[in-house]
Amino acid sequence: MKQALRVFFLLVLLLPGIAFAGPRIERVTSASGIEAWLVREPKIPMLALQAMWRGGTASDPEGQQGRAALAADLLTEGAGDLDAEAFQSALRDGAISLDFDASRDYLSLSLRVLNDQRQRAFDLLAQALTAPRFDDEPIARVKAQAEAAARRALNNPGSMVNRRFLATAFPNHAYGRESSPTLESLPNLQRADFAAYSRAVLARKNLVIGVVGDISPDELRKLLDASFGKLPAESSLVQPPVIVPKTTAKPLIVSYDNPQSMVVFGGPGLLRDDPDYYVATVLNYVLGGGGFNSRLTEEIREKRGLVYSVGTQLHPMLSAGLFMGSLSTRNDQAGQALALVREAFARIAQEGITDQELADAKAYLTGSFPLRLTSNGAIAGMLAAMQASNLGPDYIDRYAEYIEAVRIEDIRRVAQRLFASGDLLVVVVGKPAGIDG
Amino acid sequence: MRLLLMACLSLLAAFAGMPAAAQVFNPTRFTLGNGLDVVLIEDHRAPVVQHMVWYRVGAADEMPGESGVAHYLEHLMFKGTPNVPSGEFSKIVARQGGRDNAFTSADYTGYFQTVARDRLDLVMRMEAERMHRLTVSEADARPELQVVLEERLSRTDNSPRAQFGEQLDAAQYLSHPYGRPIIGWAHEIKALNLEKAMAFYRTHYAPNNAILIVAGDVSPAELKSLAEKHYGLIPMRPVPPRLRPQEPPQLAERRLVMRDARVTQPSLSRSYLAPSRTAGEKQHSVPLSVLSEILSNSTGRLHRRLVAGDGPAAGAGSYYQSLALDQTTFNLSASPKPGRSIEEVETALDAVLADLLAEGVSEFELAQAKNVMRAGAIFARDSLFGAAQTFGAALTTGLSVDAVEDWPNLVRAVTREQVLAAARSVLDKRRSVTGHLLPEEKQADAKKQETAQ
Repeated sequence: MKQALRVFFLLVLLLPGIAFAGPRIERVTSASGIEAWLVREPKIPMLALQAMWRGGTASDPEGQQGRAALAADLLTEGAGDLDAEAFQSALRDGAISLDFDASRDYLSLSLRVLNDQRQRAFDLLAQALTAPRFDDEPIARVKAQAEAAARRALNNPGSMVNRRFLATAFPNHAYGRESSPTLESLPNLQRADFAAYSRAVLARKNLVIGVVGDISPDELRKLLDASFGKLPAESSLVQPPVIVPKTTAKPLIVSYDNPQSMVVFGGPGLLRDDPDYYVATVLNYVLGGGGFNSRLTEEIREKRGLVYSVGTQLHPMLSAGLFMGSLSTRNDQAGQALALVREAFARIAQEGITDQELADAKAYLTGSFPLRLTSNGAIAGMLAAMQASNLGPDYIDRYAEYIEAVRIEDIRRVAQRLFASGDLLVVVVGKPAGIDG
Repeated sequence: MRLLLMACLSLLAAFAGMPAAAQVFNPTRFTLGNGLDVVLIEDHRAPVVQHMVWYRVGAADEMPGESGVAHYLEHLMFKGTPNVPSGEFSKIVARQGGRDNAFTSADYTGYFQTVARDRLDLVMRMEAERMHRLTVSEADARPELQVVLEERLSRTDNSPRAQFGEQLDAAQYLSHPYGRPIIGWAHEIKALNLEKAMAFYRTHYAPNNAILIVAGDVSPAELKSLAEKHYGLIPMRPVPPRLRPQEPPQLAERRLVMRDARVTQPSLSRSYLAPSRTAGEKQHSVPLSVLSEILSNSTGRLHRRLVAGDGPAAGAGSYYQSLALDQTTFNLSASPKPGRSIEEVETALDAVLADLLAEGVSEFELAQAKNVMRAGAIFARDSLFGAAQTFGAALTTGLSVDAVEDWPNLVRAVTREQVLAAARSVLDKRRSVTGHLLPEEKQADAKKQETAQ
């Protein structure tokens, strides 16, 4: 059996490195100066478009949490001559999928349409962008839905733990406030507020666009002009100041009667333009980002069966870098699981990672990157995200290079920078045993 | 499911309403000498392949008292074969830049990897080996059972909604094992062990009980030779027929109320036993998919009558899982707007259904629904995973490749009369299960009642 094993691994090692040429990106600029990155893909008669405007829920004024989130919902609930039902019905007639969504830093638009309905889709998009109605009926309806969701979130362990974590990490900062409407903020959200947000955010200079589809650059230019071309040049939203996440000396415990404790832990991470961003990406993979290949999964799930899932992520937001992880475990095991997390953080800060771990992480990160780019919708999203992060059109082709450049001493340095202090913000929702709050 | 895979679940849900498309995927299919069915959906846009093996066995094929064994076995399938030591499967795939996972449903169990095209040979070799040479140690099996118990807590017991869902399923099926949770009842999971899982493996895992589905950048000739090389030599074995206890006629409406201190917003659910594409009055199945689309779309009847304007509901929807080996359910759900009552929502829902049963749907509603469903069949081609998933779910529930491919034609042919007949056949309240999930009665209210008594 041992011999068979060796033969098998040898075969694995002999496989060549993965060479992948990314999709060909064309930079298309319309007459009115709207730029989009286009990948032409003629095999399916459809178009996928992703647009992102800087200025998301972090722009909600204090006391008006949820302004951006609800405005995003309302942008497809009536525009121009069409009321909510007529607008939605027109989308349906054309089998057009058109959605706005607000995250902390961005308002995003996703459009998906078959070729023969393209004109109609961009007509409707133009109306939504330039003449949203914000009628009383959809506002009342969307607010009632939001109120129901806010009440549900009061007792949802995931919402509870995130709320407390962000409020503690980002005190007196937009990132520390809720991004969804709350029971307190809903009465303060009126038609004028949604209109003000959409006027402020929907501009051209804070806009990036990715398009994948069966369309020529000339056709796309016309459609861009007709839809985005009428937007004002400048957005009036101001990005919140950069902040470093705070940690606390002791875990914070939100007592809640549930069979499991949900534990969220984290601290300062990196901004997207940090020179160590790719080093941190590799480090995160080894520590907790790599699913079954991460140290946390090995120690906490595979060896001890304490959790179903444990993981960490880097959140490079525009005004803060955050490193964050989570797990859920039976209440009586919470202390043990958290101790294992702390141990893993301390060990990686002290010892760094092994050559094998570095090689495995690089193999996964470089090899799996192209696997994300198998659908038109996913590629459109990547094209928009690349522009939002100021990455060049050669980013897809150069990603492997950035990862391969990471050296083991870089990992040790960044692990020390992030974890050597041992400071972690820990928030637990449940009835945890073995954790002193 | 081995790792949280909600995306995959919702994809499947989307496809249940609109499985794939005629002359859209153009799959190649063949069967190996040992009975392994193979389906290839070519997609040469990127040098990537989605490799999946689906077994025609799921939680509904378990023995009574052993609920959860199909899913526990799915976890153990990562715990070693002669050439791939325990825990190494996913690590090897990851070292090749690939991703892998697995899932269990009532009717099927699936394993998949997404890899660069030149790694197909490798993952096929590993997947083929665990089809017939699984070797799990007690030392690996025991902690994995704890992982499954934690999974159950995370998915089900942490959420009153999920717990109530289990109760509703159990009430829906008096005899059929669809009434049992896929992950298993906690007390039955605790009684599982390696021996029971391996017995299940030996009984059900065989090439003639599996389907190999590959989507992506590979030609039929290449796939055929790889499939022969890796799977072709696995011996065929007899597998038991899938004979499950069937439901008796439902004579009494069933109503469930669950109160839980964790609930802050009431919700209403309603389900009706319904034919699937392959079981029961199956001529009603495609019309039921169309009906669900008509009811639940953004401007559909449920929205207009229950949610829009001063309607009583914050949200309302319908869901019909058409791909099931045995009789499935047609589901409706709604939740009241704050300040409105669940009774008001249920009355309004019943009024929508009464009108539907009296008048049927309009020509406009039918045309719009067909339009959206046909477009859905084209958009479905944009996802490797979705394409493979559609064929897997169909073929493990008794549907043919041709029937999947014929979907747009089947939808096009649906008439108003057929939708009405299907609705009348299924949406009979005497054959329904209705659930109210409610907050704990407030202390104050409880005291008031005591005084009144």
